[in-house]
Amino acid sequence: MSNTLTRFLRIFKSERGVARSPFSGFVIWTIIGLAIFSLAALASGKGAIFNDILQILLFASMALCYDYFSGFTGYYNLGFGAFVALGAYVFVISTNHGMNVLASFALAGVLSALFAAGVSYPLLRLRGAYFAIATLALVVLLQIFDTNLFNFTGGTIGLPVDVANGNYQLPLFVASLGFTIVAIMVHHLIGRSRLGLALKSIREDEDVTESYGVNTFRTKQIVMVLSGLFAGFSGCLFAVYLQFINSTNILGLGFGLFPVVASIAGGSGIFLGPVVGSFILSGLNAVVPEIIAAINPTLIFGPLVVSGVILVVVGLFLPGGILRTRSLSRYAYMRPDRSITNYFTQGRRGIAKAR
Amino acid sequence: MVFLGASATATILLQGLFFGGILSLIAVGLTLIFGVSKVLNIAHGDFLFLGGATTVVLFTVFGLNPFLSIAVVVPVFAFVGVLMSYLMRKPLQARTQELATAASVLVTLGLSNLIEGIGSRAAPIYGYNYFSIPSSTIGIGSISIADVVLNGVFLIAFFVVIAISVGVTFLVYKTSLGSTMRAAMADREVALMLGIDTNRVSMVTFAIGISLAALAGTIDVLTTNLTPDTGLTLTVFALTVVVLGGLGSFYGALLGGFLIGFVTNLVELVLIDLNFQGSEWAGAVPLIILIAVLVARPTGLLKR
Repeated sequence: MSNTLTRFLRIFKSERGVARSPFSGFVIWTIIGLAIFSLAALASGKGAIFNDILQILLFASMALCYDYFSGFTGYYNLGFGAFVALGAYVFVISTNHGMNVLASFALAGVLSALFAAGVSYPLLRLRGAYFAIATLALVVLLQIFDTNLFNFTGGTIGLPVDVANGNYQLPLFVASLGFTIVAIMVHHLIGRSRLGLALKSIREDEDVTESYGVNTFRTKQIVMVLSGLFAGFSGCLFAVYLQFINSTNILGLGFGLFPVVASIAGGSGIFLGPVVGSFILSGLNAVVPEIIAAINPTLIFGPLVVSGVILVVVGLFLPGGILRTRSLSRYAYMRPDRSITNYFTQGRRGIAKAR
Repeated sequence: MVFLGASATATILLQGLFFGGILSLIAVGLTLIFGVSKVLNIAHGDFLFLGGATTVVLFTVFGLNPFLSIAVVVPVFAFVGVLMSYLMRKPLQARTQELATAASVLVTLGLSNLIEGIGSRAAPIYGYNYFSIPSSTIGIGSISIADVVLNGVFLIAFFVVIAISVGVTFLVYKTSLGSTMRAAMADREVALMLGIDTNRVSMVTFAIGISLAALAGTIDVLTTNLTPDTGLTLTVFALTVVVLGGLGSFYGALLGGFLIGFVTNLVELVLIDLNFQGSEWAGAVPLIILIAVLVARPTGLLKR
């Protein structure tokens, strides 16, 4: 028994060959930046800015959880929204029946992970476009279950979130900031572990990886379950943020595809990618419609138009994501802390040398 | 047990075939486009919505008969398809196949969002949150065959769908254009070596696929209300059909659509007959069939 456990834990060991992935020198700086950014939002005291930044944090954490599976393996899990929605529903139903908030948070994550484990058996037999389509069908299937079990889930009418009564804004903000940081750390740890090496080699060539003795099915399943667990947690936070969940706001295809889009737009497989992607996407979604309305009040375009334009531009000109553009990928292996000291000792040339 | 009358039963089953026909028109376009140029067109269902919306605009502004507006919609959307093939050239030139797929999915998903966003702003101009043509305004009454009473518009739309499916099959299997398309689907490089201009073929395929989707929209809007968010859901159902038949298989898509539509409505009929609460369970049938087929035969039913 203990032998199995040690063998299992060995896959999380840090692997020297992949210890430096792109932008891995920026982890601490990203966390500090996020914390400062969030504190600025708190200090500004404006409800709208606070709300936008909360939304950005929630989407960033969700996109990071999506990226655990899809970023490393190159499989497009378009059904990620189903895991999130399942977690949200479990959380809302159990807290509305008087269960402890933390206990139902844990329950939501565990059930979502179990769901991911269950569906991984049929779904991981598929590859490429087939996998993407089958997972996309998962969201629609869950939506149909939701609208038909309306006595239990509320269907299109929805369920109110009782936890969101009273003063919940500050705890939710702190929780989502903390969760985003944990999500960043987990993404970074997967990327540099033996598991991450296996996943990256699955992305390059699955058959060759299998011939080298990696159990590719089990490897993919482990990350899918991990992704499902964290998706459940982020679903809880998002349900509290929405104050109200129904079959269209948390199970809608547009919502379910947002993390996918954010992580691809930012740079899939890099821990900073989903964060940057959701900053840009949801930031512009919040700002641009207001600017357009200020210029010409008759033109009211919703966030869908904005995100559509961003997606087309990213797809046409930056297919690998924003972080893989040439001007940014120059800095991928830089150590920001060393570059500052090098600047003082060696002058401007020292910045790029800090590796 | 509450058995419906013969009329209602026949209507539901015919509606199943009709919905299946609409699905297979979208699915055929999707599978042709995927086969020839390896673009998974997420915006395909939204072109159905656009086609329906164009028909409604033509009907309310110019008073054009919806069946005659096919003559306007098809060339316009064939041109849109050509434009789209030019748009998709850039993402397909990415370094690896994986990046090219990701980029093309991003672009088509963006187009889908764009169409849905603009559509949801444009629909209220014509009165409601959806586009529709009430069948009473066209002025064809109902037709009764034996005991079965059927809506006239629906019946004509049904036969139009069947005719188009036969026409597309003829185009793909009996013309030289169709054989170049099938060659490009089978192996793009070899087709290029044999002197087929694959860029031109992919342009024609986009034109055919997107005008088929728009045509399906023109017919669909006669019988249902088209809301701007139907596009993505229809794409998912069409993808279900495509995977069921095997990606890149023409007959798989065509027959899969009819099969799925018919089986879905059959299940709905049985559920109503059994007096089962919440007969919307029928919508889950195609997805459950999809997952079952994928477990049993991961490359689709008709794919070799």
